[in-house]
Amino acid sequence: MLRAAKKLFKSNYLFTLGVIICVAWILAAVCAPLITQYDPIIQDLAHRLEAPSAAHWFGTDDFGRDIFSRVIYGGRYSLLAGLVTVVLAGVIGTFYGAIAGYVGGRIDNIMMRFSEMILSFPTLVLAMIINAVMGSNLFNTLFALVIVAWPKYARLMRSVVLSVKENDYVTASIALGASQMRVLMKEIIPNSINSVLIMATTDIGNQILMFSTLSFLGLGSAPPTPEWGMMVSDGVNYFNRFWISGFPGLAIFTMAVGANFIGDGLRDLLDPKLRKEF
Amino acid sequence: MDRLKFIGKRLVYMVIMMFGVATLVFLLTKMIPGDPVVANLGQRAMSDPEVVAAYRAKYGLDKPLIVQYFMYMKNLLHFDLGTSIRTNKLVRAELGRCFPATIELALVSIILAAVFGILFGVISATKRNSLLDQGVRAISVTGVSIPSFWFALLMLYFFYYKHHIFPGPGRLSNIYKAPNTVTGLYVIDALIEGNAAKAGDAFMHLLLPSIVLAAFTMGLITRTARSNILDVMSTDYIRTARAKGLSQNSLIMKHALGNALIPVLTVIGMGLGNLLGGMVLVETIFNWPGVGQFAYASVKANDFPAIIGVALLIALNYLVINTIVDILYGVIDPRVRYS
Amino acid sequence: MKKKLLALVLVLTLVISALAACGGGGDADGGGADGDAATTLVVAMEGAGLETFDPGNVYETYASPVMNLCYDNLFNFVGDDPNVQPILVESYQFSEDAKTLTCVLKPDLKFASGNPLTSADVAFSINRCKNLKGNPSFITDTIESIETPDERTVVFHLTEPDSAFISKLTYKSMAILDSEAAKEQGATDAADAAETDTARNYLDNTSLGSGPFVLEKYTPNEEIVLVRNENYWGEPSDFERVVFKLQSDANTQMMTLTQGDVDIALNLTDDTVAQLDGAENVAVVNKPSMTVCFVMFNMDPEIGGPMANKDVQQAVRLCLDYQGIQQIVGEGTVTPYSFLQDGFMGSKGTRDVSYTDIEAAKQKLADAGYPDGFDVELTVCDLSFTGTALTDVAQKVKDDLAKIGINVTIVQQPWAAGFGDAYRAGEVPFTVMYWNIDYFDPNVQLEFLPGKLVGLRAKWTEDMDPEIAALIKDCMAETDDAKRAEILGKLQDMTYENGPFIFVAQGPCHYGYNTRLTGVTFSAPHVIDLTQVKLAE
Repeated sequence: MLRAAKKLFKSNYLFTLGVIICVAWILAAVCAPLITQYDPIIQDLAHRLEAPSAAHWFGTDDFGRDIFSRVIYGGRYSLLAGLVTVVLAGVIGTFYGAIAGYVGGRIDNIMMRFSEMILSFPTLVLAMIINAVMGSNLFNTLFALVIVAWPKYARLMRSVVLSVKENDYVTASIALGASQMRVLMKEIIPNSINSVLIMATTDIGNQILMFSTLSFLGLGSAPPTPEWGMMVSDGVNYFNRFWISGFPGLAIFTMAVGANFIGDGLRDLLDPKLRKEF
Repeated sequence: MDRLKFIGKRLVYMVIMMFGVATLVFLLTKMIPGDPVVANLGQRAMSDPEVVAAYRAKYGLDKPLIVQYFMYMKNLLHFDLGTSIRTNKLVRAELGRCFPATIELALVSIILAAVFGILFGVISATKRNSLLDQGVRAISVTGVSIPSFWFALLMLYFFYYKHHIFPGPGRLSNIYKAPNTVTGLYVIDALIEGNAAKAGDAFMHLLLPSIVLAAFTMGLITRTARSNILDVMSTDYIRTARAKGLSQNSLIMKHALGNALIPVLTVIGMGLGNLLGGMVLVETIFNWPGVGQFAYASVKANDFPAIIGVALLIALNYLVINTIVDILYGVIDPRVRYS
Repeated sequence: MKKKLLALVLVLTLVISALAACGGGGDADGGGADGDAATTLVVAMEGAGLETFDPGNVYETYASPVMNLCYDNLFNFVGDDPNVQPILVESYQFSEDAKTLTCVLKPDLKFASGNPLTSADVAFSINRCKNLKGNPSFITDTIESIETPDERTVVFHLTEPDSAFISKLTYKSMAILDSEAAKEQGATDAADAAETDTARNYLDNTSLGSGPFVLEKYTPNEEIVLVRNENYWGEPSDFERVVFKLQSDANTQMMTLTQGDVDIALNLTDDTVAQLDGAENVAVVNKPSMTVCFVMFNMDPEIGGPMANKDVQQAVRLCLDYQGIQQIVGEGTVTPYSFLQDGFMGSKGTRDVSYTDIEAAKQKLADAGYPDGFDVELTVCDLSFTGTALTDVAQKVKDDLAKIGINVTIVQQPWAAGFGDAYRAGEVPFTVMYWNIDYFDPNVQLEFLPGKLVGLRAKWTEDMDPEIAALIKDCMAETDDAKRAEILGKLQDMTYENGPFIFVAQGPCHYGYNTRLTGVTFSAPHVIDLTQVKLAE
């Protein structure tokens, strides 16, 4: 595994780039107060709507707040959203799918129809409704994201469990007298988890995007929290001052790109079919 | 016969799903802690008990929840989606008005996404791990990573605002009148009217939003095409062919691509479904009077018949597309069993 | 396969460029454009909320310029003249007790259909609006009954003297419908009209009025097309067609204005107006609108907590940075003196921005028993006024209050998901909201006083300020404008530093127009009065 990782770094520049980007964002988010001397929230109307300069690298917004500092602080929310959503949705979806696939029969059918109902739903509209039901704040936005995200894990997990169950190797071990529990633990779960991990790594980028989308629509934390999506929407009224929405948007983009590069690389590493080629 | 049975089963299943979706959305919208009356009446009327009572009576909001539910379901059985409490028009008519705008946009963008996605996927797989491969993968990752609302603003800023290469938001320039509705697709309707300039204008308006919409799906298609071609290439069948001395290029073109296209088809189908569902932002930014904008306004107004209508429409699309993809699977690959 | 793919890409590119060439051609010389550009007036405006043009139901702000072109009222405001003019009325008279208004219609009035406009149409239209029990029905609240002794005479019997009654008759819902044609479409003015009237869907897409234009086609979220009424009883318009392009995007409005594709743009922003500087053939109108943004406290200590304390309220009033709020809301914003906007009859104008006094505010807060400030939640909804989100004003208020130690946490709540309900019920402790006038009369603003519509939303009851409550009644009954202005002046002084509202901004309007036109002005009741827009000589 370690050797494979090394090889991954060497052969896949994009993966390396992704790691660099993400590490940089994590560091920036953690050490935000050290990086910038401006407070992301305190207003300074005397310097509103200023273009990028030496004093304000990314310019200032309509309240005269330093956009660079808001972008740096804002990374916290996006990182949090990406990770929390994927972990929760992954865990819920995995259990749900594993149960459905393992139990099978009518229960499987009902469970899967339910998850498919959510899948067939326009995601953004569903998230908006959930947000309206629960109220807008960071926690509820994450909740809405999880609700929208888990069914695809469930579906994946179920199909993997089903195919592993029918695997020649597995049927053979059952025929040879291995206990069902042992088969589940030794064969089904490890093989299935791999696929879920692959999906999860590539999903982090998606969730970061989805989170910023909701925040862009005003369905996130309340202002003046420096959330990137909200910052982009702040700039819509100031179209010719590109820096107001330009930099936060670039931030979302780079973080999502980083996460996706890593996800792609890891998939190459974890996917047994592709691994052969290394 | 097998296929017919499959389609029949699918139809029954779709009807059940539709009722499930309607129930789910009904419950969800009723859980929203706001009174639809407040959301849809003016600043004075909402405090006037007489007006409020008349409004409730008109839309059946004065009945108990369970009665409202069964009334809605009964109407749904007759393909009656009810009346929007925001616009006072039949939801079916409203959807009929917005859906063609969305379809027009979705079709153009899915074509863009499929063509470029497959092209990039093939290039990437044939030149695996080359600089070209990395470049194509970078493009596809960009596609799936770029926030659509930001990309939309960016495109408008450069191609419309800075350099007048593309027209701005909306379906037509201000000098044109909306064409008479035949198909609801402006490009086609304008052509039917015999106004090529208007059709061209409508088409130009389509391009920026469809590029924005296509980016994500294109990234997915590139990714899937690449990994599936690689998958197929590593199968024994291809290895044998390679051992026989067939060249790499002809291998990909003759054997790998055909087989690899099946999963790509799924992604295209799902992509189309996602496009239809994920248009809220792009339609809002491009002032595109489609289903997404309608859905957004309906949620904002707590207009539950309209929200259910949109949800049913999108879900139906998703299910129909999935069914078609499944059937096509069978056509392309006879080994697929309908189960 | 690769070749096929390449071919496909090529074909696609070809089709795109061919179509693009057509589109480009259209842009350059207007080839294929619809209508004669010279006699078509194209207006770009926001139109997201436009749902109806039925006089009995119409309510939205941006329906006003359309209604004003398609229908006539008995009285109206013309251009930017703040004085009401008789339109369909030849002469009118109030009775001694101010409870009866008798109007005599002009002779030979007729509708676009050719039908004569008579007193029966007037009675029908106004009764219908009352009985539909829709959004605008409040406007008929003081009407007891309408009598039509002959074809040209209409007598309104009022329940009480109503000093705003003539202004109310200018409201877009008091437009006069062609009753004969409307009845054919299912309209009724019967008492049960709310259930039995079926004309709305028809009237949403067609007009049955007597105005200079007729509504030809309405495509929601896209355009509204009007054509000239060839049967118009007055002087015909210079234009054959008026097209409203519904697009909220200020940049599109600005760019299409400079390119000459639209003649009037109604939703420009600070940012876009700045870019019109030096543009050829384009002129700009910048005016404060009548839309007012206010900070509201709940007077009930159970709900408002510390914000119900009068000293705390005064501290907030002293500490807000009015000039900063004007900057946030945009160029052209003014801060009204009190509850009556600058520009209304009887208004005391604006509050001096130097009113802000942080030291005095701290003192007030200490008087209230909070020398070290306190924590409070400010609930704000997802609405905007004149292009500024309420959350933006809320952020500014938060920043200002921090200066005197009040630590504000902003809580967002969508209007449709709880905020609206709580606001209506008077349960919001502390918020920033806005108010759009409906009919153009200072009495509209009396709603912000104790015991009235908005006053009650702040739990400000009559018994808290009986003196003000008494003056409100006088104001509503006083039909002499000079005397009414005097009462309004007193009321403004009494609320200058008192009450649960702080009026922080009157949002600005930025219009741009092509200089081939004259008569483009801001109109508070109609957004813009397009009947007065003419081709420049």
